[in-house]
Amino acid sequence: MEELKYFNSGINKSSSIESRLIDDYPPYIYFQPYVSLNWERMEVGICYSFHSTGSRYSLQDYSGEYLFDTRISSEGPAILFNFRVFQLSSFRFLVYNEIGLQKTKMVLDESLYLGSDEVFDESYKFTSTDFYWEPGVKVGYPVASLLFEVNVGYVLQSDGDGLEFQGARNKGFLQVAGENVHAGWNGLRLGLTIAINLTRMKNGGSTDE
Amino acid sequence: MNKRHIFSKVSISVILVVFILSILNEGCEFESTEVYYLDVEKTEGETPVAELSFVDSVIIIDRATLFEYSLNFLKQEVYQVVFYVDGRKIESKEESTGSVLLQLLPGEHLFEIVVHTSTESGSLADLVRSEVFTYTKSWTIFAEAEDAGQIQIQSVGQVEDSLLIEWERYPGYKFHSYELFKKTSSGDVLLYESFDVNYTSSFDPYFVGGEAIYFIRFHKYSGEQYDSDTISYTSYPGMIDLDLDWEIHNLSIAWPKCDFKSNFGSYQLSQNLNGGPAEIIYTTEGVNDTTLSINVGENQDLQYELTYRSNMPDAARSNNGVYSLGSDNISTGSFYLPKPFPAYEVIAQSKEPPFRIYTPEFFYDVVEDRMIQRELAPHNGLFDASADNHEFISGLSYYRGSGEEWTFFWLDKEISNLPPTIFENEERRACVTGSGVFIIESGSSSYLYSRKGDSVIIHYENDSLHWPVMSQERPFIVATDIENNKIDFYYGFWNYNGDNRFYDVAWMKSLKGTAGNYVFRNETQIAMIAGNQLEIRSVEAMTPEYGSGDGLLLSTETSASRVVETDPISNTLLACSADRLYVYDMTDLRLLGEIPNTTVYQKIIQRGPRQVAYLNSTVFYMDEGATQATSHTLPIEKWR
Repeated sequence: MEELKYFNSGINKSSSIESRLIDDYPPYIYFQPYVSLNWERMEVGICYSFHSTGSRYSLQDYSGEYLFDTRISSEGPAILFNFRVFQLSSFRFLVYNEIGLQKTKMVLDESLYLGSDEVFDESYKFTSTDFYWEPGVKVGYPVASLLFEVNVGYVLQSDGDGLEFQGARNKGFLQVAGENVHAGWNGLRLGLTIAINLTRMKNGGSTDE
Repeated sequence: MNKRHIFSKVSISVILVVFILSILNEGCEFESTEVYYLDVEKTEGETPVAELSFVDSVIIIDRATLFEYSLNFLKQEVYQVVFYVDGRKIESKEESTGSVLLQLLPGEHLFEIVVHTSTESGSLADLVRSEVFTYTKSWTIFAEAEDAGQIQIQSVGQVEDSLLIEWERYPGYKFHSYELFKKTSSGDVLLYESFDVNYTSSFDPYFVGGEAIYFIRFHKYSGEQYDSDTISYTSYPGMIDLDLDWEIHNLSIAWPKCDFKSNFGSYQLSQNLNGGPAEIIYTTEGVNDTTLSINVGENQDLQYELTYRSNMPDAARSNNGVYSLGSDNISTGSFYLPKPFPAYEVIAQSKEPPFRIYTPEFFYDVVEDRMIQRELAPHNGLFDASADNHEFISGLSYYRGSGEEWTFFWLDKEISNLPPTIFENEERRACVTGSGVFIIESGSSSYLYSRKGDSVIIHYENDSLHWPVMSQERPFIVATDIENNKIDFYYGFWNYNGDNRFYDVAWMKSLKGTAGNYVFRNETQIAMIAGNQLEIRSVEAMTPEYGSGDGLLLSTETSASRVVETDPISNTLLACSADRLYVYDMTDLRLLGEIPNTTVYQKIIQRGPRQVAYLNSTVFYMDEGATQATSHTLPIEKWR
């Protein structure tokens, strides 16, 4: 999100409204259900992930309120490759790779209301579609047919064309200093997983398949 | 395992998973809820330093006007200056200094200027210029059309016996005054001035008739003035009418009545006689007095002009308030009617019919109570001596003409063979007898003449016969001895010197008396004044045949200084003093009556207050203050 943060930093400079940056693309919980097939050490699956974050410039006084909100989210399918490195007692140590396609949607919403009167309220939508690769490690612990996992990975997103404006007529890319701005989902990702082992549910938890 | 059962379970699981995913998806959407609140203090608006074209709250304009403004704030920024007229926005500006052109329809308008400035509070509304201080100032503007001053006279007409001029009310607001002017030959005359916009009419108190031209001069208080178009009004009441009554020498003059009674002052009639200067002969203040009857003389070219004059004291000024109906002419020609004559110019009279009075230009024959004017010009009548209708000589007329023209008449017959001595001296008097003898006093001498056929024979010169009078049928002559201050009584007789027959006189007696104051009462008696005594003496008694006495028959004390005339018909005697005429009964010299303030014309050199010409029992006299004797007759019987 570095490029977007950089974009954010220019917002205040170009405006006469001396608003304050309240949120600046903070880490935010994400949601990633998946289905996988397990072999002895190998696990292959597919997943769907949804990520979201945003920013806010805000200024409010007796006369009104100014907001400059950015909400960006991405969602898309991916393929999971988990490889169990070793197992200690019931703890499973795995490395994983997740390669997927993510479609990013970003909405810029700038509004100014004086009292209840709208001075302006403009929204701009941008999208981009990128591939990403997330290598990482995870530790799992099965309890009955449930499996609890904690994973740490790093997302590497391929640089596509950048965020493209989705206007009714105009097309273009979000740019800062002449350069297209990318969503920039790169970064460390922590996850907590609760999985259900359907095989173990069927067999009463006697086997991993 | 039953496959259908398995798929059924899987389907339920998928639906359940998708539902759960959806909920979780929504729950993972980033949402920012915090806001940054900045506590901003509200500010107070400044008092601007403003310079505006309009200072007063009420403005009057009469053309497109540029309204200029200049607004100075210490901190606040002028966003907008909006101008409204009658609530309608006409223009807005963003500059703190500028102008706006006001082009308003005539009428009353509300002009408002609204100024929006920043508040400089720093609030969001201030930053986006949505928070403003508003300043408002308004004026009432009376706009008038540029040609509002072009008011015109609406009507001129007769109202209430005067002339009313009405003009348009000034529709604008810059009223200062109206001025009503009248054009006259001497320039524009101010008739009326009004400082009240609602006073839009005025009478012309000077108008009595004719043509009048008016215009309104309107003044704005700003100094401009506008003259309206001129408008004329005419009222021609008619012409003067002259109607000459040839029977009675009377000229009736009539003129139309003045319609403008309220303005009327007087009628004034002037007369121009024979091309001489015009003279006002009649003035009346009665508006209904529209006729005048006057006596006129013969052979006169008369021109009359009737003038209306208004009752304004300064009516004559600038010919305002004076209207002339014009003039009309009339020539009287010849007629035989009583008429006025200039008594003071009478220089001679005849004692016997035809009674005549001579003036420098005319002589008048008196027939009964009428006088008939005869043309005398170019002669200057000098004397007339008439005797009774005698077979030999009944009258003598002599006129001295101008230059070398001389005329000498027996009655109406001109005598061409004139003795040269008549012309050598200045003739003054003549007397004639019924026997054809006459005496002419000329210069310091008198000459005795007699007629012989159509010629005149001169007998001799006598330097003692002054103011001679002769009896008609008897040869008695009375004259004045100037050197001895005596009255001489003579006896005339025919004498012969060989074959020549001539008339001679013989002295009989000299008595004390007043020079020239004697008149034959009849053939033998004379009335005369000696000192303060009026006497009647018998001349016949002075002859040797009657004992050469003094002939005194009657005597009475008198205030008269001169014997004027005796009248055998009424048996009266007229005598006069300097200013009074006395009438005596010749039978006993009893004073019958007297007319005061009267001077007898015969010896009049200067005019008196009341002048009388007496002839044959009739007195022709002048009205007091008049310049001519009139044809009024006063039979002498009435004096009694």
